Amino acid sequence: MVAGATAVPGAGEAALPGATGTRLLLLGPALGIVVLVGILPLGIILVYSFLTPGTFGGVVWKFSAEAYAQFLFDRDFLDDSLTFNAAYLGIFGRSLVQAGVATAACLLVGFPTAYFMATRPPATRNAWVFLITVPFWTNLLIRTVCMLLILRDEGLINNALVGAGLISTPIVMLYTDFAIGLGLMYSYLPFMVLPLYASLEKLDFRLVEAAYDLYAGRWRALTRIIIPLARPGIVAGCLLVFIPSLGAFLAPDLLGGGKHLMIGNLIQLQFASSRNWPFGSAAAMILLAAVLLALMLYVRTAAPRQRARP
Amino acid sequence: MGAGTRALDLKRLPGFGATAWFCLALLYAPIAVLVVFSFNASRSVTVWSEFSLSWYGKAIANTGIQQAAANSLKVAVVAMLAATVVATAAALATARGQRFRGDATAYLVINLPLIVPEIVTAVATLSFFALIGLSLGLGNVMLAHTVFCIPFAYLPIRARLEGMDRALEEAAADLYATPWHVFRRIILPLLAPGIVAGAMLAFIVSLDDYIITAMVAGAGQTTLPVYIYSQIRQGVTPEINAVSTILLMVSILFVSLSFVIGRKQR
Amino acid sequence: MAETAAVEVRGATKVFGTGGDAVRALDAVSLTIRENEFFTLLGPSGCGKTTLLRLIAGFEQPTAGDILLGGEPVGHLPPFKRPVNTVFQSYALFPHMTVARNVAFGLEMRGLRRAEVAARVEEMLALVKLTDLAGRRPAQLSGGQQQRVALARALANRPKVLLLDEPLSALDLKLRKEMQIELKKLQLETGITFVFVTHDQEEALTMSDRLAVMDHGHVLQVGTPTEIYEHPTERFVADFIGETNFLEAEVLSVIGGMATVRLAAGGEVGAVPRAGAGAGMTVTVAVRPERTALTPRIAAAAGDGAVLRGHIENVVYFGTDTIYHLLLADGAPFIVRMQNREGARRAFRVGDEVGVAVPRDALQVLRD
Repeated sequence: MVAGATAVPGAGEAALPGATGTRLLLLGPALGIVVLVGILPLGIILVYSFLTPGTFGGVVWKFSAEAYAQFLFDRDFLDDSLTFNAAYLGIFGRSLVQAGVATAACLLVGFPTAYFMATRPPATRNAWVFLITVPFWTNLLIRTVCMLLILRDEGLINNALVGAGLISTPIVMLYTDFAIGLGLMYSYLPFMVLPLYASLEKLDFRLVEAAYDLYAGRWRALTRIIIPLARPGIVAGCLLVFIPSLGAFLAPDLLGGGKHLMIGNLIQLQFASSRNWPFGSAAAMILLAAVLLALMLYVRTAAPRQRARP
Repeated sequence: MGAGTRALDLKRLPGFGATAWFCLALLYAPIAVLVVFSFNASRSVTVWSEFSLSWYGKAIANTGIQQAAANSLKVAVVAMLAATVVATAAALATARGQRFRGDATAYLVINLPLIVPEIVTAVATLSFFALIGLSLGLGNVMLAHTVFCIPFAYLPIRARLEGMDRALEEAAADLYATPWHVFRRIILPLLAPGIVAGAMLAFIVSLDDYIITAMVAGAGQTTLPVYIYSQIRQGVTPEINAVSTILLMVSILFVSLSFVIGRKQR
Repeated sequence: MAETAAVEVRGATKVFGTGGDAVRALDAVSLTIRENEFFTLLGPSGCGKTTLLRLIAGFEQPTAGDILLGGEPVGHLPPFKRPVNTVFQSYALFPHMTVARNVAFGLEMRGLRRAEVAARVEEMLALVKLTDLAGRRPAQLSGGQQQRVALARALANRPKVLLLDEPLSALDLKLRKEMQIELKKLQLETGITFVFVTHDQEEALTMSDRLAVMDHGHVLQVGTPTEIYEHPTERFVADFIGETNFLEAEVLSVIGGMATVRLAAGGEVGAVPRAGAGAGMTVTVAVRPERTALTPRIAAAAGDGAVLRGHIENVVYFGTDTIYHLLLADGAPFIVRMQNREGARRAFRVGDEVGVAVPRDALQVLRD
């Protein structure tokens, strides 16, 4: 749609009345709520992570770096010495590995799916987008429960296998790292497919035709042309799967049975039964830092490319 | 002979189609199982006996579920309204008028709840409410929900606003419409689908939330997802299947509506 | 007797952006547009014509200078307080309203009574011959119909000045020609001052009472189509409008209203002078191809005219005319256009050594 004479920069000044005053009034509530109830609390738990835990939960306003030390060390409460404890590192490690594996699995399944969708005729394409979008918005708890139903010893998979006579005793799938990984992948698969689809839909297939014309086979056309051109979508998709997976709570909780903790579970425990708010806050801060780091890496790799384009 | 008269589809990559269908199956099979077995007459959630709606009956009659559902609806409606109004105002402020210096920062701040992991938001909000001693009952939950609903309402509204032809607003001003009239007669009607889409997204997101609600809600403030979770711990029952299916269907309904409305006013 | 101008632009400057990125879209532009005239702003894209129009309409505020409508300064007034209306390039019809509601919009905003609004809408739709389509939505109309709705919507408000921003650019050729005639008729009938923006010189020349040629934020020349075409004062104007030959020359003298110049290509001839051109100055002279004629080489100059020598490089036959591309004796290129009065000319061919007769008032001294 032609936007009239708006090729001229700064157009539309006349439309918004009273400029700054009105704008502040309009923006105020949104910013106010988010800053007050969204950002300020983050600051609060940052502070909490440097305090001492209260006896029944909550905090005691006394500075302590103990929470952060607890990640690496056990303090012997008799002689106050520190011994290295790899347990929490293990939890972080598991979280990173699970998130990584889930991302890789989503990419492996998601890329062909997105490509297939992008190469459908327009009517079918819309149907596919709709079908992939629906799980995106349905309740994560319920979808995790569904996965639970499938993986159980008396679940769908085992029943089918036993019923078909392929195995005699059910395969234990639930409450394993495998279940968590599968759960994560299942939860965030649409988060990978949709950005990939958005990227691939814009792909100019004449470039692929040019590749074929220049003697590239299907495999090389894929690896040398299609995948590099879909890079923004790939990066966005990976980010959108990795970050929520890293901080996931429901999948490791319901599918891991509380035995294979991830960071999310660790944090939740501290604010529930373990009643160590500073430690929980510290873990939350570390998780937040990891997420911000991933985002910064993304911005650094994505943005310069965009700015370089004229 | 082989390819014969069928055109060589250069776009086709081997195995990609199969993977796509597998993906679709993977996404929907577990949901299908849940839905199918909610209609199962027997107690088993894996062995089919016969069709029955009894569990739905039991679920609806369950007072715990009724209370949780009522709470969920109250919270979702309030969060949706608050978030949508606030987000519409913010979208108008950021997508109209001269670009101002704080533009990018405002955008980032408004969308911050999307970036922060839910568990972190949950404990942070809990700590905040505990610190200031906020005890508005269900209001606590509503406030917490409003915060993360704002970006979900904001993004579709802003996208719609940016896609609107500025020339229409100039034309209206040219035809003696004051800024208020431009908003009421031109911007608002054309923005309406975006606002509705944003509102519905906010509603779904609030309805579906578990972890933030779980942390922040006190006794008597249980929402449906929290209730379902607490029951799951004791084992999956067909009533839970039924309730979950209902919740699922509500989400699907809203997504479909949002889709249709978005497509209509293209 | 000083008559109040419909629109007066006084030293208007418009700068977009700040610092190093600043764009000077208009630079101290001054202009007077009279009542009841069809005035055109003509120039290539980026010359500032649309910016100037938007300044008059009120969508932009001038960085410096002022705009006066009917003698009243309005530079600081928002568009809804100015008695002008605009026809947009993209028509900007409100998609969620019918044709009738679109046309009625301005009247409703000004608070006219319902009966009066209805009557005015009917009158306007009849004027643009769209009465049958009153209940349709813009999406259901063709480009030409949408354009007429945009026109009706603006005219319904009986503005003092109607601003038209390249309103015909989206139409196909045939429709465009029809609309040009319609618009001209409309302007004559209603007597409203039209300010018309276009980059199409043919449109500008055929429709305008007066036009202003613009480039890079400046108004280079204002005049009637005849003045602009026959007597361009700037090189850009001569080049932008129609085809022109440029010749180097030296001014020998300026007596009365006439200058005598010696052409680098040979010969002394009279030329229309411009302000500031004095004896001894080296200038560029413009001459239109159709004012010249080919002659056999030995022919002498007639009256105060000149005869240039050259040979024909290319002959292009156009049906009505033939165009000859020449190389003059001093190496300068030259174009001669002659009507094919006696059918296709066979008198002059490629490679011929010929003379070019240039009558004295066909030359215009330019400001470089």
